[in-house]
Amino acid sequence: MKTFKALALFAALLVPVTAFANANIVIVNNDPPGIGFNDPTPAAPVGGNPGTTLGQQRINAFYYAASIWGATIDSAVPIRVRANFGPLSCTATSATLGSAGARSIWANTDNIREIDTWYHVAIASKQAGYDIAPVGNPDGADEVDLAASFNANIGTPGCLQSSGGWYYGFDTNQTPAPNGGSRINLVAVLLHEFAHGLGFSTFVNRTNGQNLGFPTFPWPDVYQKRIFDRTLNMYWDQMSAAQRLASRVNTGNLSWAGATVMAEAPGVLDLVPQFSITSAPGTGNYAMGGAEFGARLDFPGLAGELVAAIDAANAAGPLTTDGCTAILNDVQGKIAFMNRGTCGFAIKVMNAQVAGAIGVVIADNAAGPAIDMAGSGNRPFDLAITIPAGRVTLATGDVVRNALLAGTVNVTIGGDPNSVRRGMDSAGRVLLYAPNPFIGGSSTSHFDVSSFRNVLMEPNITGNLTHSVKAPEDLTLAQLRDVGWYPDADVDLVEDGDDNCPAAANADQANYDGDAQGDACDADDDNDGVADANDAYPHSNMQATVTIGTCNSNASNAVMPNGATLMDRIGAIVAKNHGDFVSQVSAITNEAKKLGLISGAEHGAIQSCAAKN
Amino acid sequence: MQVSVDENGQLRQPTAAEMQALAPKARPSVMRVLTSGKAVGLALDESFDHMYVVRTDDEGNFVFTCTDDHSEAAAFAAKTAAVDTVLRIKPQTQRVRIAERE
Repeated sequence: MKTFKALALFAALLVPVTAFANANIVIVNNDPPGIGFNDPTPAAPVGGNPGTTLGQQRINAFYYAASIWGATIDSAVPIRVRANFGPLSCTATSATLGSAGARSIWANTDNIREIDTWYHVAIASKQAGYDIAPVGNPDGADEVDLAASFNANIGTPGCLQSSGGWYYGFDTNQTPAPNGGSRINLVAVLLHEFAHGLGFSTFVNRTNGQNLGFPTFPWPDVYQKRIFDRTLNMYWDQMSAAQRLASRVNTGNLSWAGATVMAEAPGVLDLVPQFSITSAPGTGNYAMGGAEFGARLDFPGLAGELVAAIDAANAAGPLTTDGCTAILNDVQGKIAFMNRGTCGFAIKVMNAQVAGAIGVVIADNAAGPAIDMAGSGNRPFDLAITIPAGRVTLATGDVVRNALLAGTVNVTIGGDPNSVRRGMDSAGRVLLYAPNPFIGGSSTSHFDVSSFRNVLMEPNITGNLTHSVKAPEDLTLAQLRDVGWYPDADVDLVEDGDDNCPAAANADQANYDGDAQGDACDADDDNDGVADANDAYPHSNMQATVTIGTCNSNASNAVMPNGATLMDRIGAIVAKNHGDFVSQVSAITNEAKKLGLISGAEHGAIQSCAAKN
Repeated sequence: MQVSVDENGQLRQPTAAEMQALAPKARPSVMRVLTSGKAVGLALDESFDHMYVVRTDDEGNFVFTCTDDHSEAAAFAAKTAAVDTVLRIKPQTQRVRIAERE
C-alpha cells in the first residue's frame, strides 16, 4: 500500500501554492499492482495531467482534487483518503462512477465547537488538533477519514463506451471526446464526493427521520443543524423525527441557513435575468433566460444600443437573422439581436463576439417561456465566450423587431434587482434539494438544482462547472466553513478572524503589549520602540514611572538603547545589601541621565526611592 | 428479479453469492461505537457513502445523480420507476432550471 501526500504534488506539477496551503490530504493507494492507480497502460498527457500511464493519470487526478481541497481548508491533522480505482457496476448505458464518504462521525471531541453534535471525523480532528482515529488506534476505528472508490472501466466496451471515458485533465476541457462523446471530468466528480466526506452530508435516518445515534446517542449532526424549513420556521435539530420526514420533501422551502453560505451566496448565484427596453417604442421590462456561458448577468447589467445582426443565408443557417455564420453588419460595441434556430446558442453568441458585439439577445422562434441557454458541449469553445447573452420569448422578440423598425433601440440585459437570486429563498438562505417524493441520499445533502449558475454540490454535476470550490464560482467551501472548517491559516486552532496572529501559530494568543498583534507576529512585543531582534528585554516592564517598593518616584521609566527599561534594570539587580542596592540603582540612573533619558530631578527622585527601600 | 449470464451467454439463476453481491447495500441496524477519551464515535461503512451514478437518456445525453441510497442508485442506473421519479419531478417544480443547447 502506498501513500501520497497531495501537497507534494503541487511541487511536482508546478501548481501554484499559496503561502498557507493548510490541509495535508494523504491519498492511500489501495490498488494492487497493475490495477487502477497502478495500471501501466500507456496514456498521452492530457489537460495538464502529465501522467503517461492510465494509473499515473488517475492518481494525478486524485492528487489534483485533493490539492484543491488541501489549499482551501485548514487542518493541522493530515486527512487520509483510502482510494481505489476498480471495477464498479456498469452497463453500456449506465454506471456507478464512484463513491466516497466519511468513515466515522464523532461527538464531544476536544475543542469541538458544538457539544452533543455529530461531526465528520475530519472536522473533529481539525478542531481537536490531533488525529481522532490515528493509525494503529486501539479502538479499531478506521484509520482513514474518507474512503473513495471509482470505476476503472468507464469508456471501455460494455461500460459507457460512447462517453469516451473519464477525462483526467486538470482543466475542464472534457468535451468533446476524441470519439465525439462527452467525457466525464474526474476531478469535478472527486471534488464533489470529497466534499460529502468532509462535511457536506447529513446522517439523519432516511427511513424514520431519527438522528443517527438514536436512541443511545440521539444527537443531531452538524449538517442538519443548519437545515432550515421556512414553513415550520424551524431548524432540523429542533424538529421531531416525523417533522423531519415531512420537511425533507418541502420543495422550495428547505434551505441552508449557515452564515457563511448566506454571506457569500449573493456573489455566486444570479438574479433572475431581465431584458429591458429603455427607448420607445416598447419601453419596459421583459422576462429573459440566461446563458451557461459568457459573462454573468447581474444588476445593473449591460446597457447599449441593440442592433439586428445580419449574416449570410446559407446551409449553416437559412435566415439572415439566425447568426449561424459570420456577422456581416456593424455590431461593434453594440448588443446584437438575432433569432433562435438552426445552430446552437453558443455559436450565435461567438459569431457576435467575433464581430465586436458587447452582448447578445436571442429571440425565441416558437412560443414558450424564456429558458436558459446551455453551452455548445465543446468546453474550450464555450470558455472562449466572454460577452453576456440572454434569450427572450417570441413575443418579446416581436416587440424588439417593431422597435427596430421605428429607429434606435436602447436596451439593458441584466438581473432583476427585485428578484430572489436563483437557488436562494427570500430570506437569503440557499435552497437545498428537496424533491417530492424523497430521493434517498440526494435529498437534503445537496444544494437545489435551481441554483444558477450551477454549483458543485447540486446532485448532478453539469459540464459547465469550474474546478473552483469557493466564491465567486461556488459555495462548497462556504458550506464547509459553516459546519466547522473554520479558516485557520496557521492551524493553531484559533479562527483567523479571532486570531491576533493569523499567519503565525500561537495557540496561547500571547500578546504582551495588548495591541492588535500577538507576540508571535509582533516585531516589538513590548512596544518600546526597540525591535525584538535587538531588544535585550523584549518583554520589558513598561509601567510609566519608576517605582521601588511602595515608593513611586514619578520619574519616567525610560527605555535604554538596548531595549531595557529602568524598571527592567532595577528589577534585575542582585544586591548584597541595601547599600549595594542603592549603589547599583545609582549607576543605572547615572547612565540614563548621561544618555539624556531622564532629568536630574528624576535621577534624584529615583535615588530617593532607592534609599527608602 | 435478478439473473446472471453464464459463460455461454445463457440466462441462469444467480448463485447465492451473486445474489448477495447484487443486493443493494443496506445500512447496518447497529453501528459500532467508538471511543476516544470522553468522545464518542460511530463507525461508518460504505453503506453511508455517496455514490455518483450516470446513465444515458433517450437522446443519448448523460443524466447524473448522487445518492447515498444504494437501492436508489441501482434503480436510477436501471431506469426503473425510481428513475422516472427523478426525471418527473423536474417539470413539477417551478424552481428547477432547464437549459437548452439550441
